[in-house]
Amino acid sequence: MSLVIKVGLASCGLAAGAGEVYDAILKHIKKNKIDAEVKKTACIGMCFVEPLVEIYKEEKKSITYGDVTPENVGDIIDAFSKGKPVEENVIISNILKGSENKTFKKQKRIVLRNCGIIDPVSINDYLEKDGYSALEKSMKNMSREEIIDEIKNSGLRGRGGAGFPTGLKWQFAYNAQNEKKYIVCNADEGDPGAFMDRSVLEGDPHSVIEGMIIGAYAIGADEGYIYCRAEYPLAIKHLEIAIEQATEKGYLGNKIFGTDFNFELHIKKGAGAFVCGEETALMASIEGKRGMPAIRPPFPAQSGLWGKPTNINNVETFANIAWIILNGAKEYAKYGTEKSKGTKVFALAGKIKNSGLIEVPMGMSLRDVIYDVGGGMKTERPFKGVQLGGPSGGCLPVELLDTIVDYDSINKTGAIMGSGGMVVMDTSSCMVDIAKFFLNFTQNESCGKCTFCRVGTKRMLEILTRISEGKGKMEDLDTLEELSENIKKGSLCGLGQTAPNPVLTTLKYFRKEYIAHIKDKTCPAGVCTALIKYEIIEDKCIGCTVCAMKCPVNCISGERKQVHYIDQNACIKCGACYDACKFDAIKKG
Amino acid sequence: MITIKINGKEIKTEKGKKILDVANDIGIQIPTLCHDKELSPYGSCWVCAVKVKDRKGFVTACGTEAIEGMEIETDSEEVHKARKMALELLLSDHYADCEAPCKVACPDHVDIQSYVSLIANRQYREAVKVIKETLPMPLSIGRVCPAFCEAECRRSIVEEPVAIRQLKRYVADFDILSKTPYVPKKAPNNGKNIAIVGAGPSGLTCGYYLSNQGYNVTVFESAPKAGGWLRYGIPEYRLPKKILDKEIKLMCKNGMNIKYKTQLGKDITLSKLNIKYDAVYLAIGAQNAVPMRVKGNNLEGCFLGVDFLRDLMLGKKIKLEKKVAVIGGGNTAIDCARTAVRLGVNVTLVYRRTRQEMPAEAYEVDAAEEEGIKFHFLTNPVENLGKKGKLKAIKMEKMKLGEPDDSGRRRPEPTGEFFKEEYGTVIAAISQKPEVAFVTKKANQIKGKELPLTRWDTVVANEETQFTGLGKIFAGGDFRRGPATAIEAIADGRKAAEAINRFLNNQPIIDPIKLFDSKKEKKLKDVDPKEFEQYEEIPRFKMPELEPKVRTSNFREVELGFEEEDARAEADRCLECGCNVNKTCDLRKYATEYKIDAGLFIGDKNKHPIDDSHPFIRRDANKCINCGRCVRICAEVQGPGVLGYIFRGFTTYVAPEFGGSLSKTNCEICGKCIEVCPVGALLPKNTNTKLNPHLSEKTTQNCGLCGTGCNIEVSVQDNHITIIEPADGETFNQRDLCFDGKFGWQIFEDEDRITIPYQRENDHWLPVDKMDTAAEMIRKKLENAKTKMIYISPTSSIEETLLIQHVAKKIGSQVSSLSIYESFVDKLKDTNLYTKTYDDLEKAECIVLVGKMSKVHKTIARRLQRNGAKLILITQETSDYNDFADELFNDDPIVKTLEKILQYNIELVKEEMDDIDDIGQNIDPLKVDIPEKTVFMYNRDLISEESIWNIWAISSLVCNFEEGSGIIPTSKFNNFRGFQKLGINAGEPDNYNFVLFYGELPCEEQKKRIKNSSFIVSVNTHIDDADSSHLFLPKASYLELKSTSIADDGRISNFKNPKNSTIHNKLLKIFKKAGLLTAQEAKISFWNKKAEAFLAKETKVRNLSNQDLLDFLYTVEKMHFDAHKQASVQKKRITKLKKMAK
Repeated sequence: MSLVIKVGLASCGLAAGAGEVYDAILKHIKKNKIDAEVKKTACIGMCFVEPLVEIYKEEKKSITYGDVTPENVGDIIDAFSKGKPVEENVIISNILKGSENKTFKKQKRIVLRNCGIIDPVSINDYLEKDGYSALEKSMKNMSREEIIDEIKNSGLRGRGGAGFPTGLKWQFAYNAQNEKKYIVCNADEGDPGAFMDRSVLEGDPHSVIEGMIIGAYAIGADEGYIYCRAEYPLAIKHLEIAIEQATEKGYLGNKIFGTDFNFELHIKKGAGAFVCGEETALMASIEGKRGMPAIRPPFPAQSGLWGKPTNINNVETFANIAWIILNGAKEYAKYGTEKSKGTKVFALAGKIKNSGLIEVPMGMSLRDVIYDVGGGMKTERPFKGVQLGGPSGGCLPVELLDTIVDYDSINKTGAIMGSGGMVVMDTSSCMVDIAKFFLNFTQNESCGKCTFCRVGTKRMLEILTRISEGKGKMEDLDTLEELSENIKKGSLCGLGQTAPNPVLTTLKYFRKEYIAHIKDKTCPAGVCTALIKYEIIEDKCIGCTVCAMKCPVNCISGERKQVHYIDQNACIKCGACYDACKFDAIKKG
Repeated sequence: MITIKINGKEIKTEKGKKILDVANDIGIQIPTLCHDKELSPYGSCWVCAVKVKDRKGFVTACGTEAIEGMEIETDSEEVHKARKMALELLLSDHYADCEAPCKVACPDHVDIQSYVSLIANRQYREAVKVIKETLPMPLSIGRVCPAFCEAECRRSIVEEPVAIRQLKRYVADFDILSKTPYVPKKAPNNGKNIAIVGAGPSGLTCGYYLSNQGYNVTVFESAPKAGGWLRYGIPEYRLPKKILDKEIKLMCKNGMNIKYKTQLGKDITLSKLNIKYDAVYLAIGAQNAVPMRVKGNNLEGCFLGVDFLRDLMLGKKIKLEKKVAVIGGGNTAIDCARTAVRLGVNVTLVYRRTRQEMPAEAYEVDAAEEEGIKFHFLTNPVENLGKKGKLKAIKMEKMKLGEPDDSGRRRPEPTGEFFKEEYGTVIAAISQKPEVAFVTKKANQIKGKELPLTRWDTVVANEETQFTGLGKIFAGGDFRRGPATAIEAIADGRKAAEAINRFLNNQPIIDPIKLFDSKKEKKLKDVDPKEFEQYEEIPRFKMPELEPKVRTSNFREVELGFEEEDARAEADRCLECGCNVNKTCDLRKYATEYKIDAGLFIGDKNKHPIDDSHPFIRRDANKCINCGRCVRICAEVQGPGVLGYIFRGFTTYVAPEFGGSLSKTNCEICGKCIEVCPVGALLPKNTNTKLNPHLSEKTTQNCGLCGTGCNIEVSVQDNHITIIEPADGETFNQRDLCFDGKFGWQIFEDEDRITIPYQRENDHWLPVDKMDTAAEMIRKKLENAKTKMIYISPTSSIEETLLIQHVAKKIGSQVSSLSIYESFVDKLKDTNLYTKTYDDLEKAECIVLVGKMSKVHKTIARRLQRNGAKLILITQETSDYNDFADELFNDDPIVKTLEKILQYNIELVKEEMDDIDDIGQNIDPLKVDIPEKTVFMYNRDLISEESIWNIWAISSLVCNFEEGSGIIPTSKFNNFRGFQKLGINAGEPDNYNFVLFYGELPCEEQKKRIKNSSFIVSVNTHIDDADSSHLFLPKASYLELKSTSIADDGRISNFKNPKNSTIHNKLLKIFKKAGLLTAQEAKISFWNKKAEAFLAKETKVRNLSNQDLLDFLYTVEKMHFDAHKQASVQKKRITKLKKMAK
C-alpha cells in the first residue's frame, strides 16, 4: 500500500499557501521517487493552522500536520515514512497518543461529513461515501409525502438564520398547485466573517446538489437555481464540475432513475449584495431585477420565481438532507434539543484560539463551544463577549456564556443563531465600536427601499458615531432604542428587521460602556480614537527615543535619556508609540 | 365577505382587499406615499404602517390583505409614533425648500418667486395681483424696503441676489400707469364695522384687506394726510409723495374711509371705539424720538431725527447751520443726513461703531457717501457745547470695538480719548418709541383695564394675530414692535386683518393650521454652494440713478426705475428655489398633519444637482423620497423603464441609468412619472414660461390634438397656460396623456404663434396692421372670383365647421377636406358596428392594437392587461412597450400578419360557411387565439386600408359586437367623427380663383395642384414654409375657443377657451367686415347654439349582422394599400418640440 498525502486546497488553505505546499509535495515525491498518491481535498475546518496536510497508509492511522510550508514538507513526508513524525507540526492523529484533538472530539459532523476528507471534484469519492444513495432511496423506496414527512420528523430547521422548519416549507411548496415549480439554493452567504456555505460548496458540492434533487423531487419542481455570490469562484467552479458530473451520471437531467422526473439545475452568480440573501430579493435578482425585497405574503411557496411556487433553502440545510434520508429522521433527531434538532456549523472567529469551521450538536453551551471546541481565548485578555449571527445578531456577555446553542434560547437573548458566525471578543473590543461596525455594514447593504432601514439605520449610525467621538447625549440612548424599535417593526425584510440587534444587545448588556463614552468621555476599551489619549508615564520612561522615532507626525519630543513628552494637539492617536515602547511607559486611556 | 376588526369595530368587507382600501371604505384615512392605485403594493415608505394582532412588528396597510378575523389598529399611539418617525426620517433627508427662502425671509411672506417668474413671463398685471395678496403697497415698498428677501436670495451664491425690491417697484409702476390699475373684487358688504387708528402702512394694510372682504372700515389719522412714517419719515427723494398719494388712493377704492386730524385720546377714545365697532386695530406707530442723553441737548440747533424729517414734510421752516452733525447709524440717520445735504449744508455722520455694524442698508450708506456726506466712525458725542444757548461745537470720544453684544454686533467701548469739532446743528437720530400717554386715561380703559404695555412703551399683543386680549382690540406695527420697517408693519396689518376676519366669523383667532416647512438650510450662509456651480454667472442689473451731483440740489427721486427688458432679464435670474407643488405635496400634507419636528434627526443629507437637462421634465433628486412610484410606473405600465435606483443604503437614489440625463434614455415624455410623484421630485416644465407655485385657475375640458379627446385640466395664470395635466376623477384616460397632450400644446404659446393677420409680399410675410385691410382684401378678391373653394381641416370644431359651411354657402363654394380620404369603412359609420366605446374596452377579455397607437391607448390597454385582459400587438414599431404584449407580431408587415390571422380564422369556419373564400393562395394561416370578447383598435390615418379591411374581416369572424367586443377605429384628428356627421368629404386639390384653407396645410402633392390659384387665404395657428397662401389669418386652437367636437368613440369633446382668448373673435370680425357674416353670426355664442342643436340630432343606426359585414367586405373593391399622407403645421411643430428632448 502506497502512501496517501492529502492537501487541504479550499480557499482558506490556498490563501495560507497550500498551493505551494502541494507543488512542493509533488516535487519532493518525484525527486525522491516515493511511492505516494497525492490527493486534493477541501477545508477540514482548522483554518488557524492552514496549510494542512494529512498523511496515512491506512485510513484509520493518519496524521494531520498543520502550518506546513514548502520547506518543511520534505521532512514531514520523510519522517512519516520512517515512522517518526515531526511532532511540532502534528495537529490530529489517531496513532499518536495525546494528539486526539479536542476540537474534533466534541463535534458531530453531518454537514461537514465529507469536507476535508474527499476530493470535492471527484464524484467517485462522493459515491464511495454513499453519495446519491439517498436520492436513489428516496426515489425508489419513498413516496413524495414520505420524503417530506421524513424531513418534518427529523426536526430540521432552515440553517439560513430564521430557523423555519424545512419539512413544513417543503410541504407548502408541495401543496401549491402549479405545473411549474422551482427549487432554489441560497448560497449568498454574506455575513462578515462567515464562510460555512463556502466551505461546504468547495468541499462537498455533491451533498448540496443531492439535497436539492431530493427536494425538487419531493415538491415537484423540475428546475433549480443555486444563487451563489460571484466572490466564491472556487465554490462555483466545484459546483459547475459537480453538476456536469451528476448530469453525466444521470442524477440530473431527464428521466432520473428512469422515472418521469426531470430536473435541471443552474448556477446564478450574485453580484455580492448582502440583501440578496433575503429570499424575495434573491428571486428578484435571479429574475434580473434589482435585488430588493418584496412584501410577503405571498410567500415564495405560493408565488416565487416568475410567479411560480418556489422552495428556497440554504446550503447547509440542503447538505443535511441526504444524511437524514439515509440515516433516518430518528437518528438525526437524536442530536439537539427539543425544538432545535441536529447539528449546526459555526465559523469561529475573533480572539479565539482555534478559529475555523466547526459543527456541533445543538444544545451545547456557548461556553463549551468557545472553550472546549474553540480552545478558549487566543490572548491573555479575558473574554468580554461573543457576537452571534453577524450583522443581524447580537453581542452576548460573559454572564450568558451558559446559554445553549439552539434557536429559541439564542433568540431569547436578543441575538440570533443566524447562519453561524461566531466572533469572540476580549476586553480590547469596544462595544460601541462593534455596534457601529455592524450597523455600518447593514447601512451600506440596505437595499434602500424601506424608510426605516434606509434612513433610520443611517441616523443610528450617526448617533453612534457621535457617541464614539464623545459628543453623545444620554437622550441619544432613548433615541437609539426608539429608532431600533421602529426599524425592527417597520422593515420588509430580515435585513432591516434585525439590523438594530447589535445595537440593542450591546445597549442591553454593555450599557455602562455607552454611558462611559457619553458621560465620562472615555472609551474603556481604548478603541474610539477621539476619546483616547496617549501619555508618557514619567517614572517609566527611560528616554530611549524609540517612540519619538516611530511617531509618524513627530509629536513626541524629548532628549536622549530624558523623559519624553507627547504633544496632545498634534497626536493622531495611531498608537505607534504605544506598540513601540518596550518599557510600558506609555499610557493609553 | 369576511369579517374583520378595525380599531375594535367589527366590519364586513369583500375578500381580497388590502387593509388600506378597507379602511378607506369606512372613512379611516391611512396616509401613504409609495402606494399607487395602478401599481401592485410595494411597501417602501412605511407611512401606512398599521398593527395587526399576532403579527410581528407593523405591516403595511397598502400591501397586506385583510383576512377573516384580522384585528387591525390604525391609530394607536404606537402606530402614530411610528408613522411620525417614518415621516421625520424621510424629511431628515429631504433636501428641499417648500417655500422659497426669499418668501420665508420676508416678514410679510410675499410670494416673491411667483411674482418674479410672472415678470420674467411679461405677466405684469398678474404679478401685481400676486403681490397684493399679501402686500398692498408695492409702489412704496418697492422703493423703501430694506429687502430682507434679497439677503436670503440663493442667487447670491452664484453672484448677487436678484433685485427683488426693484422688480416689485417695476410692476407696481407698470400697474399704476395702466388704464385700470388692479383693484381686487370687493366682497359683498357684510355690515360689520372696523375702526383702525393710524393711517400708516400697518393701519392702511389692515383696512385694505378688511374693506376688500366687505367690512366697513374707518381709519382715524391724527395727521392731515395718510401714510404715517412713509409720508413723514421717508424723504421725498426716496419715496415721492405723489406716488404715495396714488397708492393710498388706490387702496381706498374698495371703500376704506380715512378720517384725518383725529387723534386717539383726544378726539376719540378707545372705550368708545371698542363699543361702537366690531373690532379695532391700533397702528399708531412709534413716533416719539428718543433724545440723546448728553449735556447740552437742549441748546438751540439741536434737533431730533424724526421730528426734523416730519417738520420738513409738514412744511415747517427749519434753519440749519453750515456744519451739521447727524448722530446715529440707522436708516433714519441716513435719511436725515441725505435730506440735510439737499438743504445745502455740510453733513458729517457720527456713529459709535464701524461701517460694518451700521443698521442702515449698505446701498444707502454708499449713496450718502456719493452725495458728499462725511463719516466719523467709532465716535460718540459726549457733550454739546454752546454759547448763549446756541450750539457751537460737539465734544466727542473715540471708541473701539469690544465683544459682540446681544444683537451680534461688536459693542463699542470708550477709549478715553476725546476731541472737539465745531457744529452749528446736530440732528440726533437714535431711536423712537410709541406715544402712549393716552393709555392710562380712564376713557381709554375697557372695563377698567388698560391696554397692556411693555417697558419700552410698546403694546403687548400676539405676534401672529395682533390681538391684545383686551376687548376687541388688536394692535400692531411699530406700536407693537417698536421702530421697525414698513414691511413688518404691513405684515402685522395683514395678519390683524386675517385674525379680525376669523374673530368676526366665530373662528379661532389664531389660524390653527401651521403648514410644515421643509428648508434646505435655515440661513443662506449654511447652504452648500456646490449645487450652484451649474449656474452661469449673470450680473445683477444695476438700477439707474440720478447722478450724485444732480441729486444733492433737489429732492427728485434718486432711483430711476427699470426698463421693461431690464426688468424681465433681471427676473429671469431667479433660481426658483421654492417648490412648485408645495400646495399639493403629500409629504408636506402629512408632515403638517403629524406635526413633524424637522430638527429631530439632524445628519447627512443626500445632495444632488437639480437636473434641468430635459426640456419638459425637471428632476430634483433632493426632494425624492425613494418611493419608487416613477420607477415602477415607467417600467411596469408605460414601458420604457428609464428610471431606476442607484447605489445602496442611505445613498440610494432614483435616476436614469448611471445618473445621467433623461434626454439620453428611451423616455417617451408621457409625463406619467410626474403624475405619480407624491412630492416635487419630478416636475413639468414649460418651454415658454417660467412656472411658479402660485395658485392658478383650472379648467377641465378635452384635449384637441387627436381623436382620442382625453380629459385634461388646464392651468391658467392671467391668460397664460402654465401646465396641462390629466383631469382629476375617474375618466377614461385616468392619469394618462401622451406627449402632445401633456407638453405638445406648448406650440400654441410659443413665439412663432400667429396672432395678427399677415400678407405675402414676394417671399416675405408682412404684418397687416388693420383687420379692416385684411377683410377688404378678402371682399375684393371674392368679388372677382368665379371659382371658389374652401378646404377645412378635421381639427376644426363643430362650431367652426358649421360657420365655414355657412360662409361657403354664402360665397357659393364647396367645402371639403384635404386631410381625410374616402374609405370603404365610412360606409359602416351609421351602423351598430361602429358604436364601440372605452366601456367596451374595459369589458374586453382581449385587446388587439394594430399599428402605431397613441400612448394613451397603449396605457389603457396595459392597465386592462394588468387587470386580466390579453394584449396582442400587431405593429412595425419597435418600442419598449412591445415587451408587455402577450402576443407580439412585428416581424412581418402589419397587413401580412393580419392576412395570416384572417386565413386561420377562415379555415376554422370554412366548413360551416361554404361561401367564404380563402384570401390568397400563398397565405399561411397564423394561429392566434382571439376570444369573442375582443376589442380591436387602430388609427385609420396610420395604417393602410388593406389592413383595416383585414381587421374588420377578422372581427366579423371572431367578434359578436356585443358589449366588450368589436372595433374602435381612431383618428389623428379631434373632429374626424364630427366631419363624418357634418358630411364633410375628401376634397380634390385644384386651382381656383379663390381658395380658403381653414386649418389646412396641403401636403406637397396637393400643394402642387393648388398653388396656381389666384388668391389663397390661410387660417392657421402658425405659418409653415409649405404654406402657399397670399393672406394669412390667425386661428384659435382647442385651448382658445369655446367649442365642441366628436371624439373617436362618439363622445362629445368640449373645449372651453380657458385662456379667454379673443383670436376667434377677431376672425369673426374680419369675416363680418368682408361681408361673410351678419352681426349676429359674428358671435361665438351663435355658433355654440348651432352646434348644440346639430349634436342633438340623432342619426339613424342600421343594424348589421356579422354575415352582412362579411358580405359587405367581400364587395369592397377599391382600397388604398399605403397609409395616407397629410400635412399639419401643428403636428410638424409638435414633432419638432419633442425632438428638443434628445
